[in-house]
Order: sequence, then structure tokens, then C-alpha cells
Amino acid sequence: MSSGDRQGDTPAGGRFATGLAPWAPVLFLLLLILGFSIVEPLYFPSGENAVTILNDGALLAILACGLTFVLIVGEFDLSIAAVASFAGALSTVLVTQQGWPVVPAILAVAAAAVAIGLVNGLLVIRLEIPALVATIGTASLLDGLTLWVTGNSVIFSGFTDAFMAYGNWRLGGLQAPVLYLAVLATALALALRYTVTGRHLYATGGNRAASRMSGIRVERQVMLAFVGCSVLAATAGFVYTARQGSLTPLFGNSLLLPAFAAAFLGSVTLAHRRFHILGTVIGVYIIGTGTFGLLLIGAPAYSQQLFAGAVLIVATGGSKLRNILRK
Amino acid sequence: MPDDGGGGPGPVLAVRDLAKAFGSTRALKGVDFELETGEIHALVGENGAGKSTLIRILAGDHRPDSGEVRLDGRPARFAHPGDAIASGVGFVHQIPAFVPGLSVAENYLLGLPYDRRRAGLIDWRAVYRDCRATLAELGLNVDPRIPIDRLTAHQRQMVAVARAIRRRPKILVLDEVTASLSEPEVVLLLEQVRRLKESGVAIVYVSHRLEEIFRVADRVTVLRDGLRVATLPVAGLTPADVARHIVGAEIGDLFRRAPVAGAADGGRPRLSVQGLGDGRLSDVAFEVAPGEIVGLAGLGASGRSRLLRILGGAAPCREGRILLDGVPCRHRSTRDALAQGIALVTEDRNTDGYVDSLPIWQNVTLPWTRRFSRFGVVRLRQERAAATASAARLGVRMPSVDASMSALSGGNQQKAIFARWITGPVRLLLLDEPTHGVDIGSKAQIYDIIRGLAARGIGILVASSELEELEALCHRVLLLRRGTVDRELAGEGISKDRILHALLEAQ
Repeated sequence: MSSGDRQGDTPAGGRFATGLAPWAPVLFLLLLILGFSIVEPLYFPSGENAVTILNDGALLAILACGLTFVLIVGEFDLSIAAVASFAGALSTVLVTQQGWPVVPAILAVAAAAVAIGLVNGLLVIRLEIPALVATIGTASLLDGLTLWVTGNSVIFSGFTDAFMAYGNWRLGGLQAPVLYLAVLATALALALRYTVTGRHLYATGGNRAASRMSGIRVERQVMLAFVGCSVLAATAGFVYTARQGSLTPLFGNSLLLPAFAAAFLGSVTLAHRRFHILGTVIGVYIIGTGTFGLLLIGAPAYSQQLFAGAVLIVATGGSKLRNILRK
Repeated sequence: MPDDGGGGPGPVLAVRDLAKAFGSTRALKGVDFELETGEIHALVGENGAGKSTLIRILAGDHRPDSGEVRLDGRPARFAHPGDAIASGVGFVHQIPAFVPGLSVAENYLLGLPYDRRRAGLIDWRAVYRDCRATLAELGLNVDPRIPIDRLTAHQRQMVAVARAIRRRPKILVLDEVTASLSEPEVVLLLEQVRRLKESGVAIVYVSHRLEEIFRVADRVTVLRDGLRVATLPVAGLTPADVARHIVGAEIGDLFRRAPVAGAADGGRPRLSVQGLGDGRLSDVAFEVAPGEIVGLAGLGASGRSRLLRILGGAAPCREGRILLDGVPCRHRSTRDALAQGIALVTEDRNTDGYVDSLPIWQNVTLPWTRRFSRFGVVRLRQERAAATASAARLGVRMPSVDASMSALSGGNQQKAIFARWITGPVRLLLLDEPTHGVDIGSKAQIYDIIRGLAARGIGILVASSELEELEALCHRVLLLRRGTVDRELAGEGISKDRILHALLEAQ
């Protein structure tokens, strides 16, 4: 599937060609908003709903941004949901049951996240386990740990105000998660574009052998991506828990596939099969807007899943599909 | 097949007015081509002239926009590669496709029926006997039971040829099959090609190496810019004639000898290698002066690439010393080597030469991004300008510096990679088959680039299986044999014939 069909597709090197295709997902998002506004003119188009959609998607977006790093270096991380769950559980147990102040608990969670990222990276780089397999392994280990430390039960007592404050401050109508997302996504997007490390991450993902020949420490880039990914996943898990003021063990699991869907959707947004932060964030909100709108117009719950699946497949396979239909 | 025997003198394969466009690029603009029974017909042209497209249409990979292909006078429309094979057209590609993990014999018989025993079980002994025999005719003696991955690139190429022959084609298309072969292997392969011709197979022979064409082909067709510019009998032509047709202009200086620039410098050598070894190489010793171009010649797996990889930090140096400008360097990685100004340009640029997901300009600056940054923040405009200047200086023809590397022809990809090494400080350049898969026009330009780099005082070590290349470029040529530098040719002593003689007589 490599050079041959690539040349067949785009003999003139359409890879960086602009055209309309990279804008299609953005256009689709606008059409979604327009469509729901026409169907539900009284209820859908409101500032309040916009804020709700933004708030709802923010934690998923933080998770997906972390995943984007791992995808950029050409690896996978299926442990992100488990990391988020574990970060929530660890902080909850430390604060509510061990009586730790919040800041040390945050530091402990951060240290754990870095350690998990390092373990994932080492499994992939040193033991050469395919990332898909290695991170399924760590995910399962972490889920086990989470169930162990929480005693597999919902925890809702003992949440201190100081803890919950991390998830519940706001600025205007925007809640803490969106504001975290805004800061993180901006910083990450700029870093990927303007720093040497950002370039090296993309180079590593594009061609590891060629990058190594050019003196790039590719193993270090892969490690960095795994660590960054775990830290962001833990951030999402911690903020989620602080905002809820309660903990359901393994709450992260439902976020795993949407995070992948958003990142892949993002890779064909304003880009041609290239993972990037802005794309990932737009991907999250395409799925979020669709889900929210379908809920609002009273579509059955399963339609949300159908929607997300169809959008992902059409978006990522769309350009090929168009070629096939044209023949 | 039924009406052979030369009843009608009609060609076995006739292509009429074939056209094919990809988007706005017109790869073929109405090409004609005829292949007679029992002839070897060379197909040549620069990268982008339309050879690959023509071959891909014949193989059923692409469908033409207009025009027709006739086999034995009957129109043939291949919708799928299987159709072409079923019609008796066989292909051997430059980089043959194999199933890794399967054995040599299994790959050899890929898609063909196996010998069976009565119960329907595969008769492995017969399979191996068959495979071993066909490979032996091509001079390849390997155990057909080992996984294909254990073979070297040129051994795999031979298996690909064997596989195509085994299908007993009427027409065989050989697409750059000698690109990764060394001279003695080429000799064996061409011998086999001639034998196939005598058995009545019509052969289309695609190669960038003009001299091979003169060794086997009966006729040659030249394509340029999607059109046929000539079909001529090879007898009576000279390589210069063919080159002129290919390029559309005179290229005089391709084989011009480089001036012995810094070679007579007399000062400290740029590179000094002493007693280098790693088990397969042993006691390798030589020097390269600043501005000197030194060639490495050797047969087959002589260790040329290995030596370059050790010097470039891509393979460990187990014994001996490497001195750069008199200072011992102990590098453990290509990164270390690069930090000291040693750059390695590998043979297979598609594998480890460039990053296709980055634009051309970022490929040019790939090792140097940090040099354009302050506190880790890259000054993109400055970086892009530097890359653009380097690419322009080496005459890289490209749609834009923002295009991807795969949009370039092989020659321009290689020029872009050279542009990388003039963008940062390099003292020693290690080149492994620098014109692999590059058309003749670009080849001349790349030679000029290499001479230009040497003129700037860079020491250059070039390994090549094309002896004309060494003849054209080098001040000195080292002959590598049994893992060590066996002899050295210098100045007027360097010619294709002398190198070949020395290599063969050294055996």
C-alpha cells in the first residue's frame, strides 16, 4: 500500500495540495450546526447550547490531544482511557481516604502518569512489543490497579472543596475543562509547529530510518510522545473527577474509541492524513455537535453511535471513495 | 500462441497511440511501441518520460485513457495484473514484491500450482528441486527452504527473475532489474536473458544503464515527455547517440574527468582509516584527502556498503581507528558521526533517505533544524529560505519546495538529498550508489554536484556498482575484496575495463 498507489493517486504530489477536501470536515461541522438550527430553530441555536457542547467535549479533547502525539510518531496508545481512570482513582483515594492535600496528590498523579508513559515507551522501544499490544497490556494492568485501590465501588464522600475547585472554576459561561483545553491545545499546537522537538516528532513518525540517518534521536521522540500522552490522559482523568466530585471506577473506558475517532477525523481536517492538534479538537467537536443535536431533536440514543461511526469512515475514506466513484 | 512460427511478421505486442493522464499530468501522450517475436527491445527514457506508465498499463496496473494494446494482433485489455500474467506477459520489477516470512521456494511459486503427490499433498522435494535448478541457472545457489528475508537485495532480484521465467511467459518485461546487481551478476542475468530470447520469448528491457542495452538489446525505443522519439536498431548506434535522444540535447560532460583538486593538497588527510574491521571486514586502511573523490569497487557483497555504514556511524566499528582531520573519532551513531561532519547517503533513498510526510524544504533541513532555532523555537522563514536556496543551487526541479519528495523524479529526489548536505557543515560525504535509479540527464548533474562538493574541500568516498561511474568521478579507486582493500587504482589507471579486470583477476 506504499509508494505505488501513492504515486498512482497523486502523480503531481497532491499531498500538500490544498483544494476543498481538507475543508470538508469543517464545512460539515457548519452544515451540522445549520441543519440542527433549521430542524430545531427554537432550541438548538443558542449560546447556552454552544457552551454546553464546548464544555462536554473538553475532557475528551484533552485526551485526544495526547493521543495525537503518539499517533504523530507512528504509534498507538490504547491505555489512555485506563490512565484517565487510574488518575481519577488515585487522586480520589489519596484525597478522600488518605487525607492528602490536593497539591501532593496532583504531583503523585503526575509522577504516575510519567511512569506509565515511560513504561509504554520502553515496552515499545526496548522490548519491541507492537504498541497496540503493549498498551492493551498496560491498560489492563491499570484497570486492575484502579479496581484494587477503589475497592471496585463508587466513591462520593470525602471530596474536599479544594479538590473539587480544580474542576469547577469558570470564566463566564466556560467551565474549567474548556479553559484547560484552550491553554493546552494552543501550547501543544504551537509547540508542534514551531519547535525543533515538534519537527522531530513528525519526522520520526514519517520515516524513522531516514530520521535516524539525519541524526534525530527517534527513540527519544517516541518516549516523549508516550509520556506526553499519558500526562494529558491523566490530566483529563483528574479534572473529570474533580469536576464530578465523585468517582466511578473505569469511567474513562467510554472515552477511548471517541478519542481515536476524533484524532483520525482530525488527520483529514485541514490536512491530508496528518495528525495535528487543531484537527483533533475539531474532530472532537464534530462528534460532540452531532451527538448533542441528535439528542436534542429526540433521535434514538443508538443514532449517536451510528453517526459517529459513519462520519469517521466517510471522512477518512472519502477521498479514495471519490476516486473510485469517478472511474 | 497458436499462430507463432512467424506466419505473419506481425509483432507479438503492438501498442498504438496510448495515452494516459494523471490529473493534469499527461504521462503518455500517444505512444506507439512494437515488440517482435524473439527480440530484446530496450525501452529507455528519463524518469518521468512515461516508461513506468507504459509498463504499468501493460501489467494491468493502470488503464489507458485512449489507444490500444494488441497481443498477437488481438486487442488486449487488462483490468487486473492477473489478466496480464494469464495472457503470457511476465514482469520483473526493480523492487520485486515478495511475501516476507515465506520461503524462497514459496515465493518462487507464488500464485502458481505446486507439484503434488497422489494424495493431493504438496511434493516439497519436487518443488525444491525445481526451484534450486532454476535459481542455479541464474547463478544463485541458495537453500530454497530459507525465508526470503534472509536473502540480500540482489539475491531476491534473481528469485524474482526466476519466478517470472517459471511462468513461461511469451513476453517478459524486465524493469530496471540490474539496478541492485553487481557486474558479475549482471553478466549472469544478461546471459539468461539471451537464452530466453533464443527460446522465443520477446523481451522488453528497461534500464538506465545504457551500456547494458548495447550488450543485449536488438532494438531500442526512446521515450521523452510521454512520446516516442525514436525506435532504432542498436547495431550502429553509440551510447552517446542514445543519450542524445533521451535528453533531447548533447550531454558532453557526463564522463568528463574531475580535476584533481585538493588531492595534491599534501596536508593532513580528511579521513584516515587504520586497521578497521568488524568480523566481515578486516584490516581496512586508506586515506581520503580534502577535496578528493575516492571510489570503492567490489564484487557483490564485498562489504562496500558495510564499510560506509561503519564510517557513517550506522554500524559499529569493532576494530581499528577512524581519524577525521587527524582527530580520532569514536562515533556510536549516525548522530555522533553527523555532529563531526560525516554524512552518509544510503543506497535506498525511499527507505531511509527522506521523510515523505514532510515537505521538500523540511527534508533539506532535516539534520539541521536545530541550527535554525533559538531556545528550541525554529525560525521557519529563515529555515525555508535556506532550504530553497540550497535546492535552487543544485537545480532541483520541483513544483515547489512545499511539495512532497515523492512528487519528484528519482534524480531530483537525489538532488534534494544532496541539497541537504550543502545546507550544513559536512567534512566527509559517504555516498552509496549515488545514482541508483536516476536517469541519465540527472546523473550528469549529480556528477557535477559531487565534483562541486569536492571542490569545496569535502572529502568524498563513493561506493558504486557502476564502473563507468567510478571512472567518471574518482581520483582514486579502492578495490575491496574479501573484506579488505586489496588494490588501488589512480588517475589514468581508472577505467571501467581496468577496474573490472582488477576485480576479476583478484578473485
